[in-house]
Amino acid sequence: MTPIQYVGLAYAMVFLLFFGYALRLTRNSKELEKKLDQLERETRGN
Amino acid sequence: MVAKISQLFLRVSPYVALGLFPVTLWCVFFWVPSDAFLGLSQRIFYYHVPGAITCFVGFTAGGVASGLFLKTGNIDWDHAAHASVGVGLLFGTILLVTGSIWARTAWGTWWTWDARLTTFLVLWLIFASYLLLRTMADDNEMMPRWAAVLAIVGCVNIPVVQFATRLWRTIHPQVIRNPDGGINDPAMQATLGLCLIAYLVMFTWLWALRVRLLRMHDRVDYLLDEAYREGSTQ
Amino acid sequence: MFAIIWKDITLEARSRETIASLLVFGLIVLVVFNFALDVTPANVIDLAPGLLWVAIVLSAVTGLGRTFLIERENGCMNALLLAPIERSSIYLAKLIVNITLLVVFEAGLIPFFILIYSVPIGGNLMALCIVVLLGTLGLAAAGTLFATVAAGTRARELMLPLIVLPLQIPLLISAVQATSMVLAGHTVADLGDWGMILVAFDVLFITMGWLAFELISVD
Repeated sequence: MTPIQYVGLAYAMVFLLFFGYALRLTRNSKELEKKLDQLERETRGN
Repeated sequence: MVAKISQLFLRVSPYVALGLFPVTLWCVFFWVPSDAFLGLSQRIFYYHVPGAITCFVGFTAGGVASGLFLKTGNIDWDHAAHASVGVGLLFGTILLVTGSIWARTAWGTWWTWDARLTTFLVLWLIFASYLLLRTMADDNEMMPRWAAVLAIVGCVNIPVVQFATRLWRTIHPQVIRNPDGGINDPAMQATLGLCLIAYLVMFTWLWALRVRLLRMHDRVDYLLDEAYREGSTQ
Repeated sequence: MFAIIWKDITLEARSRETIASLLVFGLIVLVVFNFALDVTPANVIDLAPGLLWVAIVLSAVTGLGRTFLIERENGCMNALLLAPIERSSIYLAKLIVNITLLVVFEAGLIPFFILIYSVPIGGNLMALCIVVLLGTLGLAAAGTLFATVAAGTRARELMLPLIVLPLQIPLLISAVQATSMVLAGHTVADLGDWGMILVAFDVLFITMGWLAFELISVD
């Protein structure tokens, strides 16, 4: 591999890690939001 | 206070980060001149060093937040600490990965036990064990306090580990020299600074996301408890 | 505080099960590493300090949780916490007990170590003992602090090494280097930086343990 390919690999990894993590967090947030809405509806209903 | 800060970050940081990163890419790949000695592979440096700084910021902030949590008992600080260490560890992983790739290009090996990498690996392990503790003890109500103590102990250890590993490495013949001193070119400095800002903004965004997630978890647990209590009294 | 120390020590002196397990485990580690690292007379001088410390550290980390687990199981811990003594005294008491246990363990391990690896100890035995003691202080300090924490998690026996080993790495580095210097004939005064780190680590961790134990124990 040429040096520039290594540089490319490094940068790709960085972005993967960043946006993978951000994506995971947002996905978990959306799921939890749904669950929260559901729970709030239930407790309000009681 | 934590809630307000994290909401501010959530609103502002994503856009700033998304705006800055393309600029950094342009700077790194098109604008900045190549290093005279190391050539093209030196460019990894611009995404490597800011990672180190951000990671340390994360760990230290985690330690401070842990201290505040122990002092005030306010669970917000615990969330802040948890998120800070977690995101800090992510940046630490970035550091290890980019460092390893750089080692490969510069010295032909994916890993070397030189002082810097080793110190960092140890610190990474300490804070990884912090996250493991949080997972393994999440059914125990003492867990936030234990985690806080571990975070503070970990932070206090940062200089100790640095000193010890550097000393360890100087007595062994330095087969591989770590050449990242002396950045004189202003263009290089500017690029490095820009990348650092981008990283820090990214940190705030991820941190705020994490804090929000933690607060939602807490709210879910609270509502579940409520529902359980209501159900059992009926 | 002395009551606690006395209680734990007499308990141990009567059953001797912790010491026995520690010793056997230490010996097993020494033997296993002999094969794992293919120790030959040629490389034994280089490897010996590391071998000794790996055996000590692994045994300590496995054995230190014991004093706390026993207390939890017997409900003794709650009684202790309710008693009108400072939590930090409990820490010191536990620390002294653990140090004593480890020292007795090492007193048994070191002769065996010297024998099976034919370590040319010469007149350096005293210096070696001092280095080992300094290292043990640090190991025990960190381990005692986090043993309570580890006992409260789901991963029990695995958790203590996970938390404590990374923290102890600077201690391990210094201890191994100091040991190899001592085996090469230097006196304790020559240890310089390594000795300084050992002492600093000990002081740091004992202080932190003493301060933080209050925070760690269950209310």
